[in-house]
Amino acid sequence: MAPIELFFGVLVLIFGLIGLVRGFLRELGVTAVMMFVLFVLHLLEPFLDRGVDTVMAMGNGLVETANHGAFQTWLFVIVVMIIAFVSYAGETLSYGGYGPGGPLGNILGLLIGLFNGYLIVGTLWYYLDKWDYAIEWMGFSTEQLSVQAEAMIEYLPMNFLGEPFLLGQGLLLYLSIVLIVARVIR
Amino acid sequence: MGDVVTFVLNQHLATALVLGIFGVMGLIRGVRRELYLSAAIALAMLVVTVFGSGLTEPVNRSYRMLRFVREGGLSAQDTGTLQEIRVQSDLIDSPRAQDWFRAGIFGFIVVVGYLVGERFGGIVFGLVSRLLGFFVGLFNGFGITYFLLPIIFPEPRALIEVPTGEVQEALVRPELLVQMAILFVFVMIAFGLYSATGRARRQE
Repeated sequence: MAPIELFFGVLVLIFGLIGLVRGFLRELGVTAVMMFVLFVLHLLEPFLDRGVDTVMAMGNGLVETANHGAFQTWLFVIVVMIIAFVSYAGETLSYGGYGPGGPLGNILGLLIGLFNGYLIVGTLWYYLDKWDYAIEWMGFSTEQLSVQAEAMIEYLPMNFLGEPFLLGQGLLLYLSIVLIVARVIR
Repeated sequence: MGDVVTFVLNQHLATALVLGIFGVMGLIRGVRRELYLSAAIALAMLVVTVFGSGLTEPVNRSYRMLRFVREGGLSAQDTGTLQEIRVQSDLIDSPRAQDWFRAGIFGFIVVVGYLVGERFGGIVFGLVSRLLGFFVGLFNGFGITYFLLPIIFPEPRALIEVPTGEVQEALVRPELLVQMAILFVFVMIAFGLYSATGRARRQE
């Protein structure tokens, strides 16, 4: 099995290529949506965890206790994937106008695509890690993580951008505001 | 002292350096914008001289009030909150803090003057405007230095210690590198939006 950092690294590169093809302004729409959603997920994390725990406790008879981690991981992974799908599929959220053309446009598209990959794939990794890689068939486990992978976990979007930065809020909030303001201005 | 690099900056070089920076700024910005800044500097000096010390008390009171509100105000669960805030030290509690407060007011008015100049000073045309801007810039630099220097460096001689070793260590921290990468992405986003044309969404 390939190391987790390689697996997710390749996924980020694929997102970069998608960004290259889709163009800068469309990709920026995805960035704005993902950034805002991650901020909300981060903000509501304690409530969501508690809510999911309550639901799990209520449905204890239906789901095996050992699978709770996998269930919670799947739940958040699916939520993130649906939001990513919606933001990639729709045109409504993309920024208006025509992006810069030529090599500059390609570079910007690639860069923002990679950044979107970091946001999406990094969040999936975050949720896998949070519940100790409970989806077993993926073949990842906490014990098998390399030193690099352990170091990278600290820089996953929910960990790094969610860390309090100014006035008790993380970069997720401030970067979301910047992107939304830019979206409104355009 | 074998591991310390020493640079000595004499008074002529230091003055020329500071005034030169302001002069170059004036050269770039033009005389009209620099005159807005001159007016702001004069206003800032007046405000700080007349009202500077009188503002300390209201600021301290407001600070305590805000702390009280932040701790829950009258609806706070802990009834000792007010007493706790009462015994805590003021925001501006020493002559040095007062100096910095005055410098803060001065700096705020000067920055506002700078921005107003940028907004209303018009576009720079011709060499004469730039040259005049250079001289007014020197004058502005003198005004700012004259006011701020005794506050920033109250003693007759200043030794500025730059922990270059620690700076080098800080620069290679992974957190800083990631922060720089994110900052770079956002600078590129701003640049991309600036370079993009048309406001209307593409009709496809």
